[in-house]
Amino acid sequence: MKKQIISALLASVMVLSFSACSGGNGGNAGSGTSAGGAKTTIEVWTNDRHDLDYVNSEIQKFNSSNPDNIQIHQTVITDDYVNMLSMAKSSGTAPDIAGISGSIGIDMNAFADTKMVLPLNDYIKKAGADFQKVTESDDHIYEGVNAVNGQVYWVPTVVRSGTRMIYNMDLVKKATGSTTLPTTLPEMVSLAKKITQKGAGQYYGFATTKDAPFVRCFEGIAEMAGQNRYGYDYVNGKFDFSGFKPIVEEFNKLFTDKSVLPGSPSQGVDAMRAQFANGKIGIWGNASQEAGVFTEQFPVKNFEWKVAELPTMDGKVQGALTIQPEKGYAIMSTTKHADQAWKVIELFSSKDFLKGYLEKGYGLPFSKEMTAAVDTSKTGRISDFALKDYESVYPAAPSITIEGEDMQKVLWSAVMGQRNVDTAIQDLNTRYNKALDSDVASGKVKRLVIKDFDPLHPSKGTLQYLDK
Amino acid sequence: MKLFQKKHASLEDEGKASAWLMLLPSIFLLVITSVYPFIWLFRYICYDYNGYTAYFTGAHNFYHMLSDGIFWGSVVHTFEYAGLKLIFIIPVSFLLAALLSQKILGSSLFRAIYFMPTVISTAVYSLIFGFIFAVFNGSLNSILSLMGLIHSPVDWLGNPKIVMISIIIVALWGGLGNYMILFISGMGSISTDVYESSKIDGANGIQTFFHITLPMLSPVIKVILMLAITTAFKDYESILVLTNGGPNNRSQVMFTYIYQLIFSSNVTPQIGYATMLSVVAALIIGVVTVAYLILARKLDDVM
Amino acid sequence: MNRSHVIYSKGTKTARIFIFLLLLIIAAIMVYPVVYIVLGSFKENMELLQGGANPIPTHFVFQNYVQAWKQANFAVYTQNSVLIALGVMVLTLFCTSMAGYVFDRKKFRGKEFVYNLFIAFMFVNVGSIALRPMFELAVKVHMNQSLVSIILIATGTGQAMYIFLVRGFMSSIPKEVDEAAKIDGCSFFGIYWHIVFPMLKPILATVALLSFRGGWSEYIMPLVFTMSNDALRPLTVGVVMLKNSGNGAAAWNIMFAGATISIIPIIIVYTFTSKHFMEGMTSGAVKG
Repeated sequence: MKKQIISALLASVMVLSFSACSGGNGGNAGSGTSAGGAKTTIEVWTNDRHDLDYVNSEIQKFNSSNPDNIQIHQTVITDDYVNMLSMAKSSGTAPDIAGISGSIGIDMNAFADTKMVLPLNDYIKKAGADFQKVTESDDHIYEGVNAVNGQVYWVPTVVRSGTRMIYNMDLVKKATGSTTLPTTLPEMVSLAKKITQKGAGQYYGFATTKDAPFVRCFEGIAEMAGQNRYGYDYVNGKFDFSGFKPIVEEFNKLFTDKSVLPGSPSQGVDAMRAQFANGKIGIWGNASQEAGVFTEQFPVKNFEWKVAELPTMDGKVQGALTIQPEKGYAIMSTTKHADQAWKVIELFSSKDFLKGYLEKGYGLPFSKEMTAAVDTSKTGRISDFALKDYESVYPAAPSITIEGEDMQKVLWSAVMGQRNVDTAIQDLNTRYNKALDSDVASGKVKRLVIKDFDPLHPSKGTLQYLDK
Repeated sequence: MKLFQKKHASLEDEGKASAWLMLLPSIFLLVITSVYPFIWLFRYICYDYNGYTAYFTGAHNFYHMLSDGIFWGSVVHTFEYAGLKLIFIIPVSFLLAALLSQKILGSSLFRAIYFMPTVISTAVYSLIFGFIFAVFNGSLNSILSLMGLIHSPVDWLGNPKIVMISIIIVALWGGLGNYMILFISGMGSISTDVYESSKIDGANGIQTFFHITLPMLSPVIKVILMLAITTAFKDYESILVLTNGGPNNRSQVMFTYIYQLIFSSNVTPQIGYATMLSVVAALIIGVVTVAYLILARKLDDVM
Repeated sequence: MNRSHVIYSKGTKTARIFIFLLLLIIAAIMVYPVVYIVLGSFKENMELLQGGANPIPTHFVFQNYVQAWKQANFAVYTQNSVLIALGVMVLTLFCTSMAGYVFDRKKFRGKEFVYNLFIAFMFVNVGSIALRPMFELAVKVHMNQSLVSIILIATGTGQAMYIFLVRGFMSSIPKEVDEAAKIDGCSFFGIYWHIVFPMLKPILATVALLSFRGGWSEYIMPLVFTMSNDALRPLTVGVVMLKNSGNGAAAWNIMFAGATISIIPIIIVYTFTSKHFMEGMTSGAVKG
């Protein structure tokens, strides 16, 4: 009732509106997506801008040639993508399909529970052998990432590698006299120190940023030491962060040695990339997207750079390294054109589309078929980041509501030496388990237990969801 | 006289309807943009709401708030930020306004330059200050060391002891022109005749300022001060971009914290708890405003 | 004498020079970040990100502007920004001049309550969380796909401040002026329209300038309201989006170019209004 009054008022003000306002209205009407005749417009949202040139040109081809009269209209949203999506859904303005990648932080369980998106299993079954060959969708079912309880919500078409370390070989040679790269974390920390000493303020051994890439190499090294990045103990269904301790302590040395580029913990990733390309940083950790960065965006000219696997703690790989399945599309449950939407997804998952996409170096192939199809001579340095056999995807830990700071913030401040590592880990264990218990009790999440969990093959276990 | 009063009264009646009518557009906008969202808040105050499903948790959000060290830290930082910002921005912008409403070479150019920052959106200029504040090879550090003012690079945004100052610098840069314009327009309302007569009386510049400008401006100053106070307590966009509340929550103010609870991508959104904190934050700013209003009235009596 | 003498001073020559130098130094500080943006917009992305004391590009890359204009649909964004800013300005002038006048000159029951409501909601700022209910409301009345809702909300959230300014200014205008008009038989609205509105010119010039600026630099709200329609985005949203690129490094140089483009129109507007603004000031506002 209240809203009706408000809308009546709103309408009356509109009538009395100003010329400027009606001008705005007019501009709007002219630019709307008018679908003439029997054409069906499929609205697609994506948060990727880097591949836009290629994707747009493919969309144009499709729009002018497809036999089903489908028009794809793509909108790029790069800020607060997930929030925008949920807000659009709750207000009835959601697109037909939404581009999703593993790295954008969608809470898939919540998406599935609230029926934001449609399960694609039937479509995948009907799609036939080619779709299966190109995407290997039956093998890429990751609980809490693209699937919930056996229902698949999006099919990744490309993958981002796990984190790698990238070395400025000139600086390594200058500091050690050899080109041998470290295989363990302590070796890497001491290399960073040597480079920094040699640099005498002109360049430094290591660099962080205020957010993701540093966390990625920190988490990656932890994962390969058997401590998964969620801090979740899948076998017992509770949180346990104690495995982070040795890694925190080792990383902390980078700071106490002053091997880190000054100020980099408060800077963005791009500034650090530019500094690396400019020869100011010896060791830089990030994943396959750096291939394009250091060849096209910030081409490295004056030194040789090498991509190496993450160092381990003791030379042994004890857990899988997370990779990010990317470039999948989910059908929003509010769509009126689910079948046509699927046709669009098939376009984005077709061999031709992906071959062109992958050869531009936008990502790594995620199936044998595509790996074979891609002409690696065209992809440049991205082949340096090719997947390793110990890389995989972990089932998402229950997304709980934590009171206070999250694990990344807490562990980060322990790394920076702002708090004691033991109290930090204890604090995390207490708060995360308390939140898990209370969220399970209130029915908000279910406790995920994988009795036969194998850290080297995290997606292969038998899932169990418990109510307590 | 009696006749006059009668006519007066009927006019008042006639004016009453038109008065309400003239207020209507403002009231309507107030309702949709302020009252309604505020009432909406209370819908989730007792819930744990992640944007998809709301779970009733009773008074839990309240107790959580009481024991939330980061929030109370952010309250302290809000006062610190607002206090520092006001101490600098009000006198400086007032002084600039006073100087620039004089006949000075290039005064309109100066006005344009001082006002310029305020037309750039906060999101954009905060990103640019991120560049200027960069430690290694940063623009500000390079300039300062060329001038011989510093010997080793300053970690403007990463050093917990300095970060507040850096944020204040950005706030001053972005807000100075705004208050300067307000003061100038307030000064414009003082009649030139008053100055002419003071000139005849032989008052010098300082005397004119304290005996004429300041008292005549006091109603305007009061309004501007109140605006400045409420704005200073509500600033968060720039801090969000510059430091996101870091390092180690040192620059966390109330509204950056609330924003993170709703929009952070690392953790599940806590909209219910954020509404609780929003209400408390509103109350805190309310108390400050009321305290100021009382103080201003007291000052009026004294003057 | 055509300027108001806030500090009336005969001014010794040295004092004047000192003041001038002071103004010059402050101007340099104020202008530096803007210069940084403008010069940065001609740099290669890598050069921009490497920093250093020298703000001048090693060679000028005009391509940044071409790309910003092409990639970002800038013509449309600029048009949207102008429409939003103009809409906010006109609506703000309309609403706040009337409200300020009524609040200062009228006594009636409920006035204090409404006035206090405005005061109250000036500090009850719930920040970004308020966007959610407003967006849902706009969707319900089918106005989420239009600039009108952005204009209404931007006006609504900013108006309290201007109402106070107008009211404050109003109180400095002697009541005798409208009393006289009243005796002449003017209605309450008539007084506003014929007498008060013209006299409010100096403060309304300020309100116009500030509200235009407000509408122009609005960021988070239009970001939310235009999320599903690229053709409605204003410059602020478009500029920040230029930088983001999902994977890989962001195109900061393109964003700088976009930011430069977005500053130009408002500077023109400022130059234009500031003239009127000065007129208002020099007219002495109120000849008591």
